[in-house]
Amino acid sequence: MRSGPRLTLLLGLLAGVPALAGGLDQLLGRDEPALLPAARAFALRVVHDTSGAPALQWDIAPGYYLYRTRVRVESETPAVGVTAALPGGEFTQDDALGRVEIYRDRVLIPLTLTPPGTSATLLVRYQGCADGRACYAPAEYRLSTGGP
Amino acid sequence: MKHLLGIAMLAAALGAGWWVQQLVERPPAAFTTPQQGAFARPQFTLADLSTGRPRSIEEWNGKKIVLNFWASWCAPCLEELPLFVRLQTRYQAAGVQFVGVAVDAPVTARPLAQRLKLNYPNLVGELDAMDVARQLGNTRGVLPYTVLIGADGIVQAQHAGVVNGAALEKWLSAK
Repeated sequence: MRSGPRLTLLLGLLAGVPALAGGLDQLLGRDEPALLPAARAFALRVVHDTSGAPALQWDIAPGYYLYRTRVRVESETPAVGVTAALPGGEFTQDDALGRVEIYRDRVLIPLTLTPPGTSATLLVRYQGCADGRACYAPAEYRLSTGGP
Repeated sequence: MKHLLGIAMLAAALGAGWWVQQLVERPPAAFTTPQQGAFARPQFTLADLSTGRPRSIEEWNGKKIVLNFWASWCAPCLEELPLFVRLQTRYQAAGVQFVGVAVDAPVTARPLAQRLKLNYPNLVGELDAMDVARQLGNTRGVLPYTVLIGADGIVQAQHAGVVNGAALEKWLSAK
């Protein structure tokens, strides 16, 4: 690392931060836990039922939610299609966005692959938020349904 | 006497070094001190939300900047924007400049900026805007994301999530 930025940092901190420390401490003192990384807030995996049919299972951390309308599932495997049966969510009135449908806790999304009995690499897009605090930028997962 | 002065200076330097390390190593929380020495704000240019013309952050050199990343799909972002409108009006004369960055398509963000009567410049971008946020420490891709930049161009604080208005105002009113 170059010494310039370090020196600037040191001088900046020594000169300016003590006066700010009270304010920053107040900002830090909102008594809120740090926001989780998206992959932990919205943990996603593929599960199979007793017949071997795949489904997406989302485990959503308490205090977090996913927008149902922002969930997209596509197959990236040539000649294999996928249909995701999104279950109904919970409707909530958002002051800024109006009436929105969201998922909390655990969501199971059954998948139908065509032709049946195949496997696929899925591209799953989603977007979610932490209650009243922040939203995560639209993100995507790639995961395999596993072989038949 | 010279030795005593030298020892005192060394002790002061060690103390300051320890204090700096405590600040830098503080775990990420609501407002965090900058990470990995990225204290000087990066240079970036994004399109102006109103005109579509490129604007550089350097345009506001010498001002205290509140740089706020927001998006139409982010309800907490939209809820805090009226606060920024009020604070921009209140601290305009004190050399404070709010700058918004809409992480959106211009066609989506522009009507919102008009409806919310944003009274400060707004830039717009999608992946490029998130890339700027990432350079400023937003490793989790979370919005709203607010960065406080001193008049000297040094990043003084970063905040993921809705800001504490009273604390922000305290920073704005500090000399």
